[in-house]
Amino acid sequence: MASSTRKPGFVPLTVLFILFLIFLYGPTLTIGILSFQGPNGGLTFPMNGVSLHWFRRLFETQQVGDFGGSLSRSMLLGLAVMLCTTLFSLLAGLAYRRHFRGSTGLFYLTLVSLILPSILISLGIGIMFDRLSLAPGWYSSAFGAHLTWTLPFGLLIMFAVFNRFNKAYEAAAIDMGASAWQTFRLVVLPLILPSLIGVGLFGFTLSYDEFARTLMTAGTFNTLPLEIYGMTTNVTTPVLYALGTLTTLFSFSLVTLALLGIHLVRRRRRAAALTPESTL
Amino acid sequence: MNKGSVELVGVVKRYGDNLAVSEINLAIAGGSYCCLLGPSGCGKSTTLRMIAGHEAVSEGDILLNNRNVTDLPPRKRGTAMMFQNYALFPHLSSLDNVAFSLKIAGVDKARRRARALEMLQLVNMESYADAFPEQLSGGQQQRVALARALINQPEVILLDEPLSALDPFLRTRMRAELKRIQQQLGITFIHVTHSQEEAFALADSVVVMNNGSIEQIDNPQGIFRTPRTAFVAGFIGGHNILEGRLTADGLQISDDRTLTLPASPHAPANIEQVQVSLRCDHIRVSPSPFDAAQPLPLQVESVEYQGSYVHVRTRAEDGLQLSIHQPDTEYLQAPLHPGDQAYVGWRPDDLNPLQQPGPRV
Repeated sequence: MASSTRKPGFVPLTVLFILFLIFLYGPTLTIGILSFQGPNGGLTFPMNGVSLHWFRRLFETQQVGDFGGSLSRSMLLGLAVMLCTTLFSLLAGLAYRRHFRGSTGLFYLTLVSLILPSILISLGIGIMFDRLSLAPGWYSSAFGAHLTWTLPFGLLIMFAVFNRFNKAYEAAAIDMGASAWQTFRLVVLPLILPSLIGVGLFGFTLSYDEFARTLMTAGTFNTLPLEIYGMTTNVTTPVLYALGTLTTLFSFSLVTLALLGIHLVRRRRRAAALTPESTL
Repeated sequence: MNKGSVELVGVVKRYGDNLAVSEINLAIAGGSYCCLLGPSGCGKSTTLRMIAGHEAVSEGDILLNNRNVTDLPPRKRGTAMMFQNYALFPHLSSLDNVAFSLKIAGVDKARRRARALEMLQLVNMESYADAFPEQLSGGQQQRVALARALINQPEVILLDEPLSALDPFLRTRMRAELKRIQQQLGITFIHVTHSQEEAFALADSVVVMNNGSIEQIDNPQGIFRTPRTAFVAGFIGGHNILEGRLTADGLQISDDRTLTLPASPHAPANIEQVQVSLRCDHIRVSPSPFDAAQPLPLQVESVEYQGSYVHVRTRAEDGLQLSIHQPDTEYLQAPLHPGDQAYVGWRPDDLNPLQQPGPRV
């Protein structure tokens, strides 16, 4: 053991870190465990048997709440936000590689929507739609509200991506006769693709669980987070926890799939390369 | 001039108010190996990028094969550039990297792959055709980058510090490889470097640059035997630079010391303050006086054994300082130690008059 070489701060900091991890994942785990509550169990411990009862109940018609509808709305909204965030962050990131007139001002304007409290933006958009006599909806006003949140994040990620991007790759492509479009399509895009996928996933998850910005903008039909919140006051069974477990699993599998995809591509490349005798 | 000749006429590069390259004129013969040599920020890389077309020229013209290419895009010039750190595309295999420009040119897959494989064979990398850049060592990456630059049969290859990313052992090997390929293909290589050793080993002509201008253009022997300015003598090393007043007897360094100058038509005239260079290995040093030794001995400050020679630093009371490379056999016969008196001497012809930087006389 290397305990003799440990610095004095090691033990207290480790304890602090473990506490932080419990704080971070404890609630999710608690809900995960409680979702397997027996048919006669309640919303709190102790567990009254173990069953998949509440997961089955989830897919039956509820007295209150509309899981299916709100889930599909959240998914559609998340996908639309993901696509727009990826596309516009990429374009904005490319634009910011060169200095253009008003670039600094535009950047600060973009940041403002990160700094302003979400609920105020939500309220503002809701009032604006009302003033314009437009009906707010999850596909219009809420969509815009989500973009005010995801686009600045996407842009900041693209800044980091292009900061690290070696311009010699582009110069090399141009040296070999590639046009600006060919350079982008054959060199720049493949190289930043993993980051773009990251921006997309980020945009999706930010939108998928956004509450405050949806609250005043969703209109008649609720997204999933609004529906769940509504149900916490009405539903008094662990079916709520089953829903939480299911959506968490869904998010996790999405991230896992993305990581797995990247890993597989890397492995395929490595396998493709021969390992011949060294020439140097 | 034959195929692959490059000519720069009054080329200037400005970044805002900063002058990066100030009106340089340079003619590089086709099929020759030319090294642009100088310290960082001397304008050598900028000059290379202007020849490649990656940097706009502020003033002047660039001619390739007597064709004005100043405003042509890189690909239309007949040049190919090898970038510092090679800039191999990380997402493509060696073969696809080499075939990239053919893909751009619309050559079908089978033909461009066959051609790329030929180029990889030229640099002995055919067995790594499917490897990705991250799987290759620095030297291997460099070979692939060279193959990629060669595939379009350019008349001029431009290399930006091509060996700087390699360890010293590989550097020497790749140096020989570059020279072999250049001679095999007979095309012009323009190679930017800050290493005089590299330039001397490779170049047919060395262009020494400083502060955005050319200090001297010559073959390696010419550069080393007769450096034109104090900067060149200092940069390539192995030279002492002596400064004094020109008198009827020679170069007066101090009240007690006047050095005899060679009777040369190039000797500067009518200039009070002049500089000369004196090669460290052309100074004879001995603990006892000898014919042609300077009458006043110097004091040994340090002695460093270097293998084939010993580096002796000496200083006189009148301020004269000399670095001497003494052959190790001589040193072993009569070793000098710090604090010793040392007599030094050289032939008057070994004093090489230096010029002030500026236009060549």
